[in-house]
Amino acid sequence: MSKELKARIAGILPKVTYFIGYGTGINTIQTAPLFIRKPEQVNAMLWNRFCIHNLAVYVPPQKRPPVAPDEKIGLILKGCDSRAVIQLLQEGIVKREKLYIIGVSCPGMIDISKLQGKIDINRITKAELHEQTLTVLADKAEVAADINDLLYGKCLACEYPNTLIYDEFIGQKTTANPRKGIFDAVTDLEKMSLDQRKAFWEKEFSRCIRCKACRNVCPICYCQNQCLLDTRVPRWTQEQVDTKSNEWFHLIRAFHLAGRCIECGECARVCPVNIPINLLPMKMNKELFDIFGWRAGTKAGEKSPLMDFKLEEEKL
Amino acid sequence: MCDCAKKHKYQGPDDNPYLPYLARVISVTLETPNIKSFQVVLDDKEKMSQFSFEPGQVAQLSLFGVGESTFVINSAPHTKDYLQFTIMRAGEVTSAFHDLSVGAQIGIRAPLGNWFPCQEMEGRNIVFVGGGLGLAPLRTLILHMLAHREKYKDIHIIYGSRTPNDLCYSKDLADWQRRGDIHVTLTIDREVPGWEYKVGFVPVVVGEAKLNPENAVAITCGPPIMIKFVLIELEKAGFKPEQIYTTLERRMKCGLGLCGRCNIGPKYVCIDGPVFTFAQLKALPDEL
Amino acid sequence: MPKLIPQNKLKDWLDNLAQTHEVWVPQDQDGMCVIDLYQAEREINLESRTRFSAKELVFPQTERLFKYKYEKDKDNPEHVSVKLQTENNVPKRVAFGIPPCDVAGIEIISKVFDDKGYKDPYFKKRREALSIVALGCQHPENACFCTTVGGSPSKAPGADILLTPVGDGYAVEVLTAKGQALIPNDLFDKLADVDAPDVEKAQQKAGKLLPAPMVISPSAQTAQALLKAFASPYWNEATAACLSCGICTFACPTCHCFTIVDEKCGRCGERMRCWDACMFPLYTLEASGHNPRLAQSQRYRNRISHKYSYMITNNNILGCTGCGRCIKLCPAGIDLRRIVEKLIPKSE
Repeated sequence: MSKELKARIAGILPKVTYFIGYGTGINTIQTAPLFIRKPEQVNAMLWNRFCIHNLAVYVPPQKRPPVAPDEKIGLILKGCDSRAVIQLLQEGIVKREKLYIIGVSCPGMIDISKLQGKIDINRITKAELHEQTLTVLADKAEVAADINDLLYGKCLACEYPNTLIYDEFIGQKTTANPRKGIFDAVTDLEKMSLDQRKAFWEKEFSRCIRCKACRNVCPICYCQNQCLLDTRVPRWTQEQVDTKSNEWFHLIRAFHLAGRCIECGECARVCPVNIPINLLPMKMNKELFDIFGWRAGTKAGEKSPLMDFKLEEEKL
Repeated sequence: MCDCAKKHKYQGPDDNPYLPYLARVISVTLETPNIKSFQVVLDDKEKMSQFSFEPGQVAQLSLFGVGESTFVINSAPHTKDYLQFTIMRAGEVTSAFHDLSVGAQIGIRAPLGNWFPCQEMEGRNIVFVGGGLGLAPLRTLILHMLAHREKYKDIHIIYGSRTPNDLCYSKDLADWQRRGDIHVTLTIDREVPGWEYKVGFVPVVVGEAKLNPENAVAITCGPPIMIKFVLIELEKAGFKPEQIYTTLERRMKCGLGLCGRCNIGPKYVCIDGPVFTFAQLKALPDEL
Repeated sequence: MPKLIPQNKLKDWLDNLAQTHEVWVPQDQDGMCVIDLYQAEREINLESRTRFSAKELVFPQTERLFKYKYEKDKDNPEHVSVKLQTENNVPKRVAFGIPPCDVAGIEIISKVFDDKGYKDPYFKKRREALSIVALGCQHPENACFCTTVGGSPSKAPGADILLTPVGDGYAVEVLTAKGQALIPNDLFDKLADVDAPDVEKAQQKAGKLLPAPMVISPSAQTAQALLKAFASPYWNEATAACLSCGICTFACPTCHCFTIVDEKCGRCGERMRCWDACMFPLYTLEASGHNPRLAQSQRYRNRISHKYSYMITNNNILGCTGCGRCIKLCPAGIDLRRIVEKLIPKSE
């Protein structure tokens, strides 16, 4: 992480109860969210090509350590992540003045799981990033790969490389250069026949263990105990885990995210059984984009078409 | 484990402690607007006649299709023809119980948990301090002691609720007040026309009672906030933490010390409790 | 003397076992290694760590406790009775090729479910019907720390047979009579013997791949250390990023907390027990609305204290096998090792 960035964060630390950034993860090429309260912790901060976590998940007050009513928190947000803040502000979940946001331009994050198959990513002994080449040594096998082949899917389709809402922007803004469409994966799914699609989702849902990580990591899911997937009266979902009740769980959640999902893909990233669960809210997003031209969290101050109405809708 | 503990441990049909015995509701009494007492008998007559438990022990009551919940057995241990439970309408299971009528089939896993050490209390002065539904676990012990009145010295029952309508077991209270060999103090939070007993919060009444801690045991149960202040008053009066007993409530599922959720530090309320002395609670992590 | 079974004969053995048992073996599926039912036509994978532990074989995520049925009395329709029905049959299973840390997990759950106090008949039945063919671990992962919690990558107490990779095959050590019953004589008679010292050497190699550990013993001091740290502000710091999901508990080979729920369908239904997670706020939420572990730091503290303190006090064991799954899969990158190292003083 650059000295400039560290100095700026040290500078805002007195203004906030804590600052949320990235620190070391379980190996040299993974990071983890880091909550900084003291200036000496700033040195442990990282900003590199492995900062995938969407820190906006800690924006809703009910999902993070409490602060006093007159205090604020600081955090660093990538462009994609910052869309969550715009959406949460629009939903009235947090007040803008309670956040101090460091904006950055993001060159795209590296998904080391794309190396799986070539090396065992759970047995990494050494890793080096030199310009565009990532060299990883794992379990005696070494692999060198061009990082452009290792970017997360959402980074390949990135339209918002710069933080959209911030108090300070550090570094130069870049222009978007998407190599894929954000809805490509949804379009592929739409091409399937109804039976194929049903079979696809049944197979995926059959693996779900209902750990609720997809919901909890979502910056837009903040209902906590009141989440209808947790209430027993009335009972919307069964406690028992099987394909049918899993399907029900995920479909309800997708509908509740309609027009609100900000496409950070965290739900799919954290899924311990590799379900591409972001495709469900993404399908809702595509519908809303096709009908209303709406993309959640891209324009501060605008209301979701599902929370508003016009007397004359052009496409309805 | 001594034989006595084995005797009061739930075995379950086919040695399966998750399986309840079937039982039927034989009577329903409205105690307060949202509290009902249910008298229950096991379907198996032999099991019913052999059923034994100690004051303070609890049961898991089942309504099949709704679920299970934990309730203290509040009938007297010597009453062999039914078991009584008092249930406040709060969640899913308790609401379903309130909708039951006489003859309804339920399931029961009991007895579970530990109990008040009544033998150790023999020969001592006893103070009961209860609030609202907190009289339920005390009732069993009171009925037990009254049945063996000669074994205990002075018995003083201090019981209060918000209004006269929120007092449970009004028939018992009347019986106890009529007896000359125990002392009963009733109180309500605020003055109500026609109320002829004390007015004031339970802890205040405990303070005014000038209790003597010598050779005494205090047993308290009620809302957590009441217990907190009763404790202060009892300590002021000179009661030591070892002399004060209470019973705890926690969300429970299995009642067997296996499902995990009811622990306070290393102790499980379902098997190591629900009865604790304050000395025991003070040694546990502060996680109430 | 142990026999050496070459790689290419493993399938013969598995096919043989599959005639009498459900054989569960690690295999690749949907981009991960999972433990699943052996099928002759599918490749097995004894190289990778399975995504989740083998605890599901003895403690499934969803298990029926009993079925119930309300029946009306024909002559007196107002008189309704309930019939309860349990099942007694569980399949005979072999867990084949599971690592020592997963065997340790099953042993730890046994200490809770089938030792002193109440015994869990459902677990007991499944455990008795399960034979374990463990495979010594040759490739510790980044998140592994079994030796820290007193485990070993190459020994598997509780297993019926232990396999140790030697050369191009596996040394087969039969540990119990239950294990002996899994050895088909016509196959094994033809196999070569392997020298015990060779097996020993292979086993020692694995241990060396793990970092020299600080060893945490299941002692009263360890239990006390966490009780002392109960009020420490460190819990807030260490768990600030925790999102209260259930991944760590569901992936854990020793987590055994569950909930009991009724599912009904008209007049019949069933009582199920399902994995629950102490990380979920609803786990301890009472009907009154009170929650003794409302803050996520309190829940995390309970999880660690349960494993590193309460289970020592109650069951005389550490409740952690060092498999590292909670670390590897945590969406917030929380590393249990850092917390434990900070709170438990080093013992020699």
